[in-house]
Amino acid sequence: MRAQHKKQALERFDVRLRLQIYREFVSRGRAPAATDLSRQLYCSPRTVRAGLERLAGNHVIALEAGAGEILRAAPFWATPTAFQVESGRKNWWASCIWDALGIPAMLGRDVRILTSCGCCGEALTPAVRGGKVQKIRAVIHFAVPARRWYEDLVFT
Amino acid sequence: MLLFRSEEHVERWSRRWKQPRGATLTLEQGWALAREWYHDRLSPEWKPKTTDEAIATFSRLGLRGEFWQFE
Repeated sequence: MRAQHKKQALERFDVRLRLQIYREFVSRGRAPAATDLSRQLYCSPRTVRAGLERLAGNHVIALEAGAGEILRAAPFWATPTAFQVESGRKNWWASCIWDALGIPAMLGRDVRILTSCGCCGEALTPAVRGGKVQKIRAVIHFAVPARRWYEDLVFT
Repeated sequence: MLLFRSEEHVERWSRRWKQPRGATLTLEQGWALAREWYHDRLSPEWKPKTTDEAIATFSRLGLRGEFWQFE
């Protein structure tokens, strides 16, 4: 019974942690540091670290090798990439076109995606307006089959 | 998952970088996939999709075959 209560408490904490990570990404356009999360959730750095590891183990987030800070909370990416998503004064980064489209899908906002053709580098700026993607001449290419998506997150 | 001007540009990229051709989607298909995948991500009840749920999502959007399987 005690083990069951502990498991449920950890699950509740992980939901709070995940939602706080997203609040930070949405409002500030970048990943919160583990120390920020500790302060915001009124808990110890060790508790946050353990929660981040659990979320990473379930592929909910990805952590940087070494420092262990948040690299990805899909669809957001913590550092500048070739997929910039802008909405008014807000800016976010995504690791691929799927995630870039995932940001307006998640937030229900109109956005413009600043990217370029993977082959020739010509600027491509798909936009989502009123829940629809605007037509432009472009195609999406998935190079890696689903079974290998987690082998190399950066390349995938 | 990259964006390209056209299938021809995917082909050129694939040859240049010696990468196999994978799956190509229209922007509309990609948007439909993004909505299916991410629309509920801010819900406290959200859970990662199981592989069966993910495959069912792909299938609903017409993304079928070995490329969209996890095993």
